[in-house]
Amino acid sequence: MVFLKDMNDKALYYGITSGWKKLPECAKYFLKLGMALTGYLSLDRRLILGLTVPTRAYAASLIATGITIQRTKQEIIPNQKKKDYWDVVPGAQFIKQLIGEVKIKEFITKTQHECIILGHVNNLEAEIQGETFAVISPDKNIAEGLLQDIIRARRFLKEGEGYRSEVFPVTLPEAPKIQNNETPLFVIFDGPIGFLKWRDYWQESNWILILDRTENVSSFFESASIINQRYIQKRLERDEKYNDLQPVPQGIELIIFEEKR
Amino acid sequence: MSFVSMYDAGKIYSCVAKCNINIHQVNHRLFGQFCITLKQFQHVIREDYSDEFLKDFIYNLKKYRFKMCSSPRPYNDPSIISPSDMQNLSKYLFNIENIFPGYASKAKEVFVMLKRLASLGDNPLLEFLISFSKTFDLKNSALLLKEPGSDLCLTLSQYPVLAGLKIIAYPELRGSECFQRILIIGPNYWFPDFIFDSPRSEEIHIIKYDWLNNYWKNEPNFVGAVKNLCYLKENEQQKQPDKNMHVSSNEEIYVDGNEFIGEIDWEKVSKEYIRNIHKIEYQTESVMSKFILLEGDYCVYLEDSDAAGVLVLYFFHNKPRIIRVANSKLTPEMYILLRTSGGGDYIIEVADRIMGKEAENLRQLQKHWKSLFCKKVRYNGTSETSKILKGFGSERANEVNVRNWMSERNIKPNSYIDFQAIMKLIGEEKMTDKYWENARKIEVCHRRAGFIIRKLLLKKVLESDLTLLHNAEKIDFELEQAGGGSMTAFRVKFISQEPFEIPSSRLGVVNYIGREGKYG
Repeated sequence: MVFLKDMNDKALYYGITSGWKKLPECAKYFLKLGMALTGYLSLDRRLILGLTVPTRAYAASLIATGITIQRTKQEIIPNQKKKDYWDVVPGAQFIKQLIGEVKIKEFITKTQHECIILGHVNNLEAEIQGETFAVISPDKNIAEGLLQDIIRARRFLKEGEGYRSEVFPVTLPEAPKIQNNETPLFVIFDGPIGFLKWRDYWQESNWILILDRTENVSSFFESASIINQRYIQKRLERDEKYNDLQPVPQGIELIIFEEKR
Repeated sequence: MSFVSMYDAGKIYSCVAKCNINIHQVNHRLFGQFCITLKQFQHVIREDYSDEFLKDFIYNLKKYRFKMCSSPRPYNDPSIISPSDMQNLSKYLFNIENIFPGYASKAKEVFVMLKRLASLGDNPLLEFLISFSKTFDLKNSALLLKEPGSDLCLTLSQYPVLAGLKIIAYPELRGSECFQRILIIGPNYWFPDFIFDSPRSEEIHIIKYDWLNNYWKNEPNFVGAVKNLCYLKENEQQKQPDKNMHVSSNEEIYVDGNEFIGEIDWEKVSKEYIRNIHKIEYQTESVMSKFILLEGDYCVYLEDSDAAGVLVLYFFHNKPRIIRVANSKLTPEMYILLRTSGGGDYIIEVADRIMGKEAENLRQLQKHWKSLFCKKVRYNGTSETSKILKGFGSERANEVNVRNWMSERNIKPNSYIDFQAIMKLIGEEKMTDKYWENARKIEVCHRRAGFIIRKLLLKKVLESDLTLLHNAEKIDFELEQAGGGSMTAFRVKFISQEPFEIPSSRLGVVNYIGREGKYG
C-alpha cells in the first residue's frame, strides 16, 4: 500500500491569514484514504466505502485528490524530457511535489474520468478552488497550489481543457451526463441526496458515500440502511484485506467492502 | 449547509477527539413532587384520556413541566404560567370535578402544587448555572436549550456572571462554530445524536433534574463498520450537593422533549380547521396540501406537489441566502419565508406608478363596471345574482365568487366567460372586450407591483441582522412604507406525512394554533 510514501506528509500545509498551518490529521487521513483506495481496485469486483463524519468539509474533495494523485502516479513515465511546460502550468511545483515528475502536458490536456463528486457545488468549489495548500520542504521552499490543480474538476476549468474529475449539483432534475457516457472510476456521493437519487446510474463505478452526522435527517438513515443491506446481502468475504488501512481517526465511522460486478 | 473552512474542520475534529461529557443533576422538592403526582394522575385517568377536558388539563400541566425542565427560568415566570393560565386550569378543574368526580382529588392535588410552584421565584437549573459560573469561565460558552426564546435572554441578562453565555438551539451546532464549553439543559435524548457524537466543544455539561435519565444509543450507523466510531463516554455524574432532596430515588420520569409536537393530533387539528374554512369557502377550488407546523405554534398549508415551492433562508459563509425549495423537499429545521401580510395599499401605489399616465383612466374604467355590478348585486341579492349570471353562461357564479367579484381587491374573474356574463348583467355587453383588456392591464401591473414588493422584502431580509434567527421563534421583516406588507422567517418543526384537501385560497396563509392569535 502506498501512503504518500515518497513525501513527508508533515510538510503539508494550508493557507491562513498569517501564513501557513499544518494540515489537520483528519485532512491527511482523507487524502491518504483516497490514495489507498486505488490499491483495492479490481476488474470483477467493485468497492463500496461509506463514511459518517462530524462535518462533511473536505472529505470528498481530499479523497478525490488522493485518488487522482495515486492514479496519476501510475501514469508516470520516468526519464521524460526536462522541459515540459512546467513553468506555464499553475500550481506546477505543487503538482510535482504531490504526484512527482508527471508528464505535465499530458496531465493537463488528457481527459480521464477518475471520479465524479455529487454534492453542494458552492461548498465544493470553495474547497477545491478557494483554499490554498502547500508542500513546504525542510529548506522552506513553498510549493503552493489548489486542490483543483490536482483533481482538475471540469466545472471549474475552461471549455476544452483536459479534466480528471467532475462536480455535479444534486439539485439537477435528471442524473448528470458524462461525456461519451463513460463510466467514472469512482463516484463520490457527498451527502445522501445524490446517492438516493442517482446511485443506480453508476452501478459499474466504485462508490464512496460521505454522510455528515449533523444532517441526520431521514435521507441520512435511508442511505446508511441501503449500504447496510448491500453489506449484508452482497458483500464478498474479503474484509481482512482492508486491515492495512490507516487507523480511522476519532469521530469517523467507516465501512468498506466489495461486491461482485 | 454552510461552508466550513479547513481551519474550522480541524477544530471540529479536535473537539470530537477530546470531548468530555459531564453530567450534573439538580433537584427541587416541590417541582419533583409535582412531576410525580402528574405522572400518577396520568396513570389514573389513562382510560378516559381521550376526554377533551382531561386532555387539555393534562396537556397544560405537561407543557409547564416540560418548560420548567428545559429552561432556567423561575417557576413563576409569567411567560410560562400566567394568572390567566391558572384561571383556565381552574375552570378545567371545575369541569373535571363535575364530570369525573373519581379523578377530582388527584387533579386538585396536582393543581394545588402547580399553584404553589407558580408563586416561587427560584429554579435550581438557574442556581446551578450561577454557581457553575463561579468555578468556570463562561466566556465563549453556549447554553443549548430544547426551546430557546428571546425572553430567556432577558431573564439571564439580570445575572452578569452569565453574560458570556450564548443561548443557542441545536441547529446552530451544525455549522463550524466551536465553543469552549457547551452547557445543555435536559437529558441527552431531547437532542439529536450529533450534539454528542459530532460535538462542537471539547467540554459538554448536561444539567438536568435527577429524575430524568439519559439514554445513550451508542449504535454505529453502519452494521459492518471496519473501525467503529469511538463513542463518547460520559464522565462520572456530579451531583449538586444537597440542599436538594431527592423526590424518590427509584422514581424516574420520562419527559418527551417532542411530546408537544407528538401529542397534537394533526388530522384532527387539520380537519377541524378545514371544516371551519369550508363553512366560508365551501364552493371554492381545493388543492392537496401538507400541514407544516412552524416554531412558535404557527402553522401553514403548502401545496403537496413537486412543482410548488417555498422560499428557504439559509446561511453560506455566514451570509444569509434565499433559495426556492420544492415543497416536497422541505425538512424540519429549515427556515422558510412566508408572507404574513399582503402588500395592501402599497401594491396599488406601486401598480399606479407602473401604469404611469394611464393609471387614472384604467382605474376609472374599472371602477365604473364594478360600481354597476355592485348596484345590481345589492338589488338582486347574491344568491339571485349568481343564478342570473349562470343563466348568462357563467360557469363559476356562486355566492362566494359573486362577493369576490364585487370586491375592489379582486380585479376580474379568471374566466372570460364569467366576465362576459357580468357584462351582460350590467348592460355593457358591447364593451366586454374593452373592460376585459382594461382589467387585464391592471392585473398585470398589480402582479408586477407584487413582484417588486416581494423583491424589496427579500432585500430587507438579506440586509437584516439574522444572528438571532436561531434563538427566535420567528423574525418579521416589514417594509417601512405603510401597507408595504411583511414577511416572516419561521423554523419548520414538523411536516405532516398525510396530505389534506384545503381551499386554494388558504395555501401559504400563516395561522396561529397556540394561545394568542396574530396571523390568519
